[in-house]
Amino acid sequence: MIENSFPTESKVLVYDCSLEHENQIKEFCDNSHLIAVKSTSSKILDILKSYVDLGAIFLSEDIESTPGGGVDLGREIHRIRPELPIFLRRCSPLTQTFDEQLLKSFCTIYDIDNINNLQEVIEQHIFCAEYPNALVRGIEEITRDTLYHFFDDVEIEVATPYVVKDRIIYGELFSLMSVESYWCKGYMMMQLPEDNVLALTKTEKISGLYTDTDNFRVINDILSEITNMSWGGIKNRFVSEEKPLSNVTTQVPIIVNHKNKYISFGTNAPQLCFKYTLREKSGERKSFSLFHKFIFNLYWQPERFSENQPTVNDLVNAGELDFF
Amino acid sequence: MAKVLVVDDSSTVRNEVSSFLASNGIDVDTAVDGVDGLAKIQRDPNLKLVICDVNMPNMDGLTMVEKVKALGKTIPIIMLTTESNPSMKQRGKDAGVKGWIVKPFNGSAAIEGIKKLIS
Repeated sequence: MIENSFPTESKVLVYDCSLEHENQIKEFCDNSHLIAVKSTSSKILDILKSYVDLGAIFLSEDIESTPGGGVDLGREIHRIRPELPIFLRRCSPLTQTFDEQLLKSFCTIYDIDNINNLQEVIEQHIFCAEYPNALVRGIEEITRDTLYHFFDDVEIEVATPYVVKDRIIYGELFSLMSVESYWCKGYMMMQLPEDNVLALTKTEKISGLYTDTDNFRVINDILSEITNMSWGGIKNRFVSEEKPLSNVTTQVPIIVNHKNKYISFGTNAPQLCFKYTLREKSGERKSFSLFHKFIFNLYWQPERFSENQPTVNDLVNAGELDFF
Repeated sequence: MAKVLVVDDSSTVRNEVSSFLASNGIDVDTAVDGVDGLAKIQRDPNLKLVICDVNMPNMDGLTMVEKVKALGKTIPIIMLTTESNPSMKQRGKDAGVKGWIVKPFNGSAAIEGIKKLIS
């Protein structure tokens, strides 16, 4: 356990047939830093498509008027989203056993009376990594400031940082930056849609570039520089040149499946996720969301994390010319 | 009219800095990396100042600066980069870099210094 770790949250989809148990599940989620998103529709598979950043799913064995239907549904969910742990609430008597093959679809099966026993499972499968508070706060501040540099007349809403098990690619473009320090090695990823990005970009940044409305390369370049500046700021604050890098030489392939909008870093570990929603302050109130993720898949030693001490040089503000 | 060369692999940054300089009556040329920048510095006798990124493909900015120095060129160069670590700045100083700007570029804050260098 590291000192001063950030209390990350995770979004979970809850589809439970029992109103009676709903409050208990909600209370458990609140106490466990889980943001419960309730699904009331039997079209949960369609609903799942609209969520790209989940940490887990809570399902009941019985669904609506179908006793045991939750088991088959869980199996189908596991088939399409195997990264998501599924917690199945048992409705049948304890004497009833489940088919072993079916059980493989579920992370665990729990009884509502012992829901608190899920805590350990959640720690193991969702909150298995700790993140220093200073790092999380710093990333949010640095990236938000970077976004304000590029986007005009916007308000930026930042969701409380959370962890994600999904491996779904959000939007139409993403950037990947290899990141390494004394305390981590992995990747930083930013994902966003094309729509509205140019509309909200500061004019002076794109004038002269934006002569062709179909030129997607303009948005590519903007995202590239946002990524560059975000990691640059993080590196300046949290990566000390006095300390050696990780010395980890392991590399694993990153797999991207465009057809299924899927990206894998070769690990089941959750990703630290920041969601920035940019909204035009005036006019048409156009908006878009940017997902900013950290995947420390190769090396993660948060106990070695430290913040660089400011030096005299840091008294010069960013953007100002510091003469030698 | 004084001419400045902006060297950065990002078209967004080249455009941002160029637009600002042009609006201040400064003539501008651009280069996409250190190789391109070095070629233009050698070719264009009218350049008065170079504003250069550090992290670029093909040839990074500090390597370009060192090569400019090796050629005996005395054109002033300032770095515009996300980097701020002391050893990198020292390497820049040793190569003759005149100044350092940590991104994002703040034209209003930098313009007086830029004008001083090109005058």
